[in-house]
Amino acid sequence: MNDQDFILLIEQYLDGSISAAGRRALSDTVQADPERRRLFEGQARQHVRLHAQTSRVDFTESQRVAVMVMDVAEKEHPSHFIDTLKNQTVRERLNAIARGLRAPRGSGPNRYARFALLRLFGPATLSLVLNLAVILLLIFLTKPEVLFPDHTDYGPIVDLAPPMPGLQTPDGPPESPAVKPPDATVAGPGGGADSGLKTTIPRSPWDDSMPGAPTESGTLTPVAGLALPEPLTPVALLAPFAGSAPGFRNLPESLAGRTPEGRRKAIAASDGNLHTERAVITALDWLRSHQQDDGSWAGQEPAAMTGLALLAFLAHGELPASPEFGPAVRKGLDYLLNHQDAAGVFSKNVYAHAIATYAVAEAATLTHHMGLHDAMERAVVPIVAGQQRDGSYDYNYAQDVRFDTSVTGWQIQALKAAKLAGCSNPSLGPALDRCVRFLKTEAFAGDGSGFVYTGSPGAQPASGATWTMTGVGTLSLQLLDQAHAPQTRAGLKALDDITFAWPSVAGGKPRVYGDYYVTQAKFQQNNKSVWHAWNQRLQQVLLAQQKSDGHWEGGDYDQGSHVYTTTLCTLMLEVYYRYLPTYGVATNVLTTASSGSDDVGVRVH
Amino acid sequence: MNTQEIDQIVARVQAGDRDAFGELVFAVRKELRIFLSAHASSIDMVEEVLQSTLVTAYEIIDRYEHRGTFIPWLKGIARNLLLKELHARSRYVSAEDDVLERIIVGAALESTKANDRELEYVERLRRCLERLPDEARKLIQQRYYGGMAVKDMARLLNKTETSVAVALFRVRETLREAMMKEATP
Repeated sequence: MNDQDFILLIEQYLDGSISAAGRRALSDTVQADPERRRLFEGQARQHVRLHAQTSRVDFTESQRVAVMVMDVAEKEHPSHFIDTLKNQTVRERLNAIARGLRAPRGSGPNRYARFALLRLFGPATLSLVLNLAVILLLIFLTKPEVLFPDHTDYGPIVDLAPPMPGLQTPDGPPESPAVKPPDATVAGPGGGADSGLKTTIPRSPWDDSMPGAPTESGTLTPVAGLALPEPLTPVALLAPFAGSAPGFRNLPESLAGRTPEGRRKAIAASDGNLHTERAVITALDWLRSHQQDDGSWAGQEPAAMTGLALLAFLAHGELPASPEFGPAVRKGLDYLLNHQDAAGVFSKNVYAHAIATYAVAEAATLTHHMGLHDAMERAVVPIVAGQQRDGSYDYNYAQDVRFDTSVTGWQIQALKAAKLAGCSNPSLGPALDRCVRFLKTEAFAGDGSGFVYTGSPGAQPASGATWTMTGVGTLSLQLLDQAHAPQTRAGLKALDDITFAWPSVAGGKPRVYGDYYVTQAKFQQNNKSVWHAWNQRLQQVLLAQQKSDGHWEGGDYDQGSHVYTTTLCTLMLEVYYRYLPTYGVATNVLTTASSGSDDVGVRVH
Repeated sequence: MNTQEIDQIVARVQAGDRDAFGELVFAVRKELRIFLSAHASSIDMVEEVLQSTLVTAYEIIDRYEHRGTFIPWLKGIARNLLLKELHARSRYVSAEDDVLERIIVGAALESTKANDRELEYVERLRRCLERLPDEARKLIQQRYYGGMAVKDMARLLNKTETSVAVALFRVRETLREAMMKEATP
């Protein structure tokens, strides 16, 4: 390597644009030549000093940093608030609360005001809540029908109870009335429209026309041969809300980063920082403020957008009971559950159904909420039923025409999340095994250069890998505990020379779809230098491209509302703690037919 | 801003004035950043330790006594956090096969042993920067103050990446030699 090449590599290393090959060459030369090592060391140190000397410090930015610092300190150590409260007179305290309530939501003064209010009124509120709970319990034990005249909430209360022996409707087999969602349309496993089977189910589980429906006076009419369910017990009443309180229990190892402490550690361990966290919080704020009144997020496929937004909140450990984003999460989950039909389908669009299932399954894992668990179990049924014999998926869950690796990728993420949630469907395990077989023997191109987008079921395409599908296939295999598979290693090798980019050409669309997969695949690869190079660009680009109100825009496949681009970018910045790298490290890349970066359709910058 | 003025702002923060903390951050941020740059191994490390220092300072600001020593007090916190970070990083890179970062972190750790000399260097760097020829200073401004990557600079200046990289390399070397020369009695 001549001196000029050496100097160029140093410069690229310093601005984070060095390729994996360049990094290797630079490492080799500084190890071999002490003088070059000295020069490299001196240049790197001088680079840091010059950056500090020439850095700009403006007042507005300092104010923003200060608010963020106070937020972090107070979130983790509310003792400062307590000290401040102690030092204030009542008048000062009331003034500070009044100022804080007028301040922007989420700002330091606003948090302080809410904290102070909680301290002032918390004990009284707790006492009120306890009294109310006792009153409700007494009413419930004496007259349960007063509390459940027309149940339309999550509906798992009697759904999860064992079938009542002898409970028969006049026209059909034993059936639990509350399993029926409000005004839902029962559809066949094909997604509804194609099956031709449509039945409107009445909103109330106690439809007026049903034998045993309550009369106007509230009493139940005895019907010959019909055993009525017994009144619900207090345990059944509480069950739907179990786990919705703040705090996480029995998390799988890979989700340990969802707790505040786990998140902090994971960020430190994987090169995240306060800037990425600030970007995530701002994005979540934007998502919260753009939630529709019905709890969904806008786009051509609201179920998909809602699923993605929920995944972004859940990745940050935001649960329905979380103080700040909890209401948005709860409304989003309500929306999905209210739009799940009797066949378990959230949307006829297979992407949307899988994404919604993915979100509901994650929420079920994190909250242990029985209603969510039930919805997840039902959502898995059409996915398992829609799988082709070769283990792949296609649009509309069509059979035997073509396979679609992109569609399959989302189904795999949904099924894997369901598995983590403890899904009891006996077909789930075999379905996931078939997915592995499909990825290894069909989606993986015959020339070993990565994964292809589509082909005929049962036949392996000879070539045609793309970097996007290589991201999908590689991450999918990692999620399916195949980190050491030759196909996974070859996929990672093919992704080696890709760097994170945002098109600077007018009209060019950021490839956030592919980047979402590649970011996770490289993170799960657990290779320090590979991750460092990718992550550095990822942070530079995403932080620079985020709009001041927290959203990103213009990504490929965006549905016009910016929700799609924003959620995928947020999920990328949450990668440090979303799934901890527990799927195994791919080392000693095997030699495959892929001998270089040019034989696969990847972009190299 | 002199030390007394800083102490006055600190007093307001201690009394619960949250807006005052913004003023304090504005007053100390650049000096703290330069201080950290004497030993940090990367720009990211400077920024991360800077934020951690501010968080820690805010948490324990009640312990500060007004003696006109707020910035030295802050630097004490920063130094401890930086050393902790460097040692953690050093353990991490030695377990990983990242030669380049290992070299830089090793050099940064070594520099902490000569604390005063390194701090003197960063002070001299400021003076040397002022004496740079216009063309060289412009280059540095574009690269650092403007935050431009070498590829973008090459496009802007209508030159090859290599020629811009070589020019930057020379400016940094010139500055380093000037710093050393100034150090020689």
